[in-house]
Amino acid sequence: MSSLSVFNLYRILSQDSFVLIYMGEFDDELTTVLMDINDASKSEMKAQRKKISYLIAECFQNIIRHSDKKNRADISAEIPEMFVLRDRKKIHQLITTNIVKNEFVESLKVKLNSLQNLSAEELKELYTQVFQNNERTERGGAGLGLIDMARKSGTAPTYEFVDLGNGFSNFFMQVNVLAKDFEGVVSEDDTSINSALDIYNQMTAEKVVMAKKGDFSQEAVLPLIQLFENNLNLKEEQIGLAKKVLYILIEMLQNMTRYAELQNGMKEGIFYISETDSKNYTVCTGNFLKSEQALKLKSDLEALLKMDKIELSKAYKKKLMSDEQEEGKGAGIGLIELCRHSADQIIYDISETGNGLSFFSLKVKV
Amino acid sequence: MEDRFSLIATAETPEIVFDKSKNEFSIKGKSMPESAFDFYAPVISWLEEYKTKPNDKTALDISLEYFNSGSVKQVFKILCALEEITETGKEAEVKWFYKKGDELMLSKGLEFGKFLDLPIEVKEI
Repeated sequence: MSSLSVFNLYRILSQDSFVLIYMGEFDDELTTVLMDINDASKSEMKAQRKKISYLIAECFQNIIRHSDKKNRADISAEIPEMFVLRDRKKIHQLITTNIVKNEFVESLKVKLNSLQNLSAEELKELYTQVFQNNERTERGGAGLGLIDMARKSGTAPTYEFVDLGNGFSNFFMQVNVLAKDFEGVVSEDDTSINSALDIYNQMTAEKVVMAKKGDFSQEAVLPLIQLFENNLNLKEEQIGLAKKVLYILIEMLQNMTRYAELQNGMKEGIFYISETDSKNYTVCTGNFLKSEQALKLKSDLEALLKMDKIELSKAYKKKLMSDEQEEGKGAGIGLIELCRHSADQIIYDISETGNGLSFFSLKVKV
Repeated sequence: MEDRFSLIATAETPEIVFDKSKNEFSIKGKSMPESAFDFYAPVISWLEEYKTKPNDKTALDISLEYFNSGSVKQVFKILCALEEITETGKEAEVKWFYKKGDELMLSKGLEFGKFLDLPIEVKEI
């Protein structure tokens, strides 16, 4: 992806009203934060909060429980696992990926296929049957956990296996939850897993740890910061880098809270953070601004980008000591701080999108 | 003026205790409110009053896990108020705590020390 990557990602996900992608460390303690993110989202998934929360926990724990990551020393580091939550209006999706040994692929397919084409009623019946008889092993059918996920979501999960070589495959599973007001028949298009594969490829190419599209109000931003902080702790990231990354992340997310133009009734935007290399993270945000506001931001940024470290420190000190009344003039303290703490020059881009609005992307490496 | 001003910590704001009679002053936790100006306004207005009749010695402990840039500015304003106390002949000092390895928080403490005529001691925890 180019410097414009965040706008590309926005376009790929344009039909989704809410997307959360997580590719960091996986641990049980993160499930509650994920539920907080869902609760704070302005998406329609809230209407099915209990169900979605249950599925989040199941899917997330499946990644932790079933991963063969530990057994694949040779390819382990390069192949991250992914958890995605999407609201596609008609349908809500929870996507997980797991690395599995090829010897388990056939039996997994048999289990998943046994659920395909079953109606919500039939899934319910199957669940009761298996629950009462506890005969999962003899039947060779799906386990209770899997049937329960299908039953709760009202339709069978879709899946795909991607061979990784060396005897392992990447197992993609997508749980499809019909929206409350869903009418008609579920089409193959509705539950297609293809875009999940696209997302995964884009995210791994960019080494993304976390991404989100949707609302960036303060309530929505707080659990995102929490999730990333937990990831840093699990990773035992060096504290010096961790604190700096969090500072920049908070700044950039709250910039969207403050300035993003309302779209569809929310502070709509997109963000991702990637682990550029072992010493750096890159935070990227994108949101709509009124075009004249975007131009002002551009000229403020351009002025800062011409400054060296000493001049930036001076500008920072001046802002620190200035009265709030003068805040409107020139770049704010937050923007100066982004420039002071970025490892490379900040990259930004403006795309006019019509109706007097522009999409403003910002990329900062820490 | 109330003798004591205090706020309990939330997920986005720090615990604040400014107690004139116990002579206890501290700011602890995370600080990233949506509007730092609004959040700190009552703290600063309390200090403005306190400044007119300060204790002989005011010692403020600041121990922040992380913050947004808006909060940095407001914390700086609090320190400015303490600096003004020292100008009236009374004593004021700050202990700035930072977690071992947190270079950002350390540099903020050192920077404030440079910008102000106020004893700021940076302490590793």
